[in-house]
Amino acid sequence: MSGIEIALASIGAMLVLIYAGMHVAIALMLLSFVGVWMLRDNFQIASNVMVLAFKDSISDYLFGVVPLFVFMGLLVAVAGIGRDTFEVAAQIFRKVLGGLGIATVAANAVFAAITGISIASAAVFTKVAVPEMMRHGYTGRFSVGVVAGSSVLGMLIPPSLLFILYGVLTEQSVGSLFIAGVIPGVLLSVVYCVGILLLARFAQGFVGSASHAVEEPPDMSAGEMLAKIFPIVLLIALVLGGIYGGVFTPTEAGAAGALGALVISLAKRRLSWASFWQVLVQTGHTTASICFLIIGASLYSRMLSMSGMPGALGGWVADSGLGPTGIILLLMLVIMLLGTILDSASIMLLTLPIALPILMAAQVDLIWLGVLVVIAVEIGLLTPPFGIAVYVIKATLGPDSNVTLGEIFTGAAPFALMMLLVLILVFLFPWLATALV
Amino acid sequence: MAGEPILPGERAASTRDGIFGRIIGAMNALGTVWIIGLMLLINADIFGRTALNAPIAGVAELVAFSIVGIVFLQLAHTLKSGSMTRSDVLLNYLERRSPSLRRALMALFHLVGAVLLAVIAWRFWPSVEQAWLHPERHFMGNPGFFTVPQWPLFALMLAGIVATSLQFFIEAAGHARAAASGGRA
Repeated sequence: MSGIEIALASIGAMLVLIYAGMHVAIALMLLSFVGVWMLRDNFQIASNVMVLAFKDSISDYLFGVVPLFVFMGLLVAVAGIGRDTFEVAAQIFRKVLGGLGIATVAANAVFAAITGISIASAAVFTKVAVPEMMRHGYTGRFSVGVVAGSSVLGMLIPPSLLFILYGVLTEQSVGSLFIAGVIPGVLLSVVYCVGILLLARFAQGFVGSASHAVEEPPDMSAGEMLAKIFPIVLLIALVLGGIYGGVFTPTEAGAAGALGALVISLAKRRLSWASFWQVLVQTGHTTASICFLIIGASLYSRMLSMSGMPGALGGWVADSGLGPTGIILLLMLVIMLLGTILDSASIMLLTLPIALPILMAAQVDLIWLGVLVVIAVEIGLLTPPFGIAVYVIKATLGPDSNVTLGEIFTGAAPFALMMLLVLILVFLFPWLATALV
Repeated sequence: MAGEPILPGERAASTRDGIFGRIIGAMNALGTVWIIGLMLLINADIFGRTALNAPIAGVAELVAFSIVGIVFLQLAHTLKSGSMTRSDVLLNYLERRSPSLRRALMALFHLVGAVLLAVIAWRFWPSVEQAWLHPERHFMGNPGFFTVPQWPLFALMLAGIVATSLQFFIEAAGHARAAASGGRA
């Protein structure tokens, strides 16, 4: 077998193993090990390459901040900061058609500015917004659909763990990537709001009829509303102000934000010892899981480059006359397809090492590409069968809820389409991503 | 992020943890506390540098050191809690159709993990030995400015790899037993 045949066979085997349910990191390591062994016909080299990847893939400052971004996201989730934001937004949009849907999007957009992980947003707003929307007569599937759709804002609006990962993989400035995500993030929020308005007007069966008979809590005074959103405004000022004021780097923002979130949750007395420990343990598990995957993916890309496949693939693409545009479209398609079976980080770690050398040779703007990749990856969060945001929502609703997985996917579908629209817009008008950078 | 629900509870820890279960529990707790330490370290550096004009030497190395330590301390427990990323599309389908085939597949996958990590532990051992015997050649950082020896980190990594391999093996055995008894239990 030639090197390229081995590489192609390993990609095929990888898809089969991952679909069959092998741990993704183990599948990557196994195939890299076997691949190098076949390429070099030498067990020693194969195992040494594997040991080397364990030693050096994650030993870097940039990976050190992964747990801190996760920790910050989980802390603000348990501290009730998301709930407060939603309550204020709900009051502001109360009189609008589909108002609670819009309030969920707005609160998520604000919440996104202090969390870098989508599933934290999905969990918080399932608890906070879904019961409130259903009480007001919205259908279950629309309520969870709004939450699923708007939770992806967490990854697009800085800070964002996916942009950090992308920055590490492509050696781009994380700060520039964060800025590049701002306009597309705001655009997506606006598209969601318009979409909700249209759905509420023209697809009442899907949305449900918002009844006005429900007893409303008394209006909050302006002072109360300010008191409720003060903590989140403070955190946003701390995180974004610190980054763009030059006090700390985007990678350090996770540490500063986590400490800020910890102080605020302690000050609000919303953090028990038990939930504090639970948050920490989950932070560790998420981190270990991501970093183990990174080791596997790093090993896999070393195997691929030993096989000579990236070069051959680059040559093939150059000969095919596909051009950078065609390659990007192909990459987006592959990412969205993988999104149906894998989670965001795995998809980026799998596809970028293969696609990147080709795209760099074609001189594609990697910041712009980063925004495209993150949006495409996040569409996968909403698509069956492995839409992870959807599973988080289902798990958060608990066993007593009568909203089925199928209904969540149906509810999320219009939002996945709206994301696709924004993806196409950013693709057609690259300045949406690069204007501020 | 990686296949793990946030606030809804994780798979409940086994009520009858053996000694090994307690060891990886302790390793996990140590890694957990380390995350707080990491957060404080970076914040101390930001504060020292901006307010006191006194940055902490070697923060970059310590952070790189910490993340590796944290990950390998928690890896076995992550596997045990069911948080290690995988797709359950086919497995969920099999659960309804053929529970014993599902168990057999799970046993096989976990066995692969166990063997693979055992190979890594075996081939990693010489590095640990070298780092312990010659700390002057195996360190992180810049000599004369800030250095930290590699052997404690390598030792932690080895412990984590071995523990994860064992945990994979325990899970494989459990699934194999269930497969043999018709997929129940």
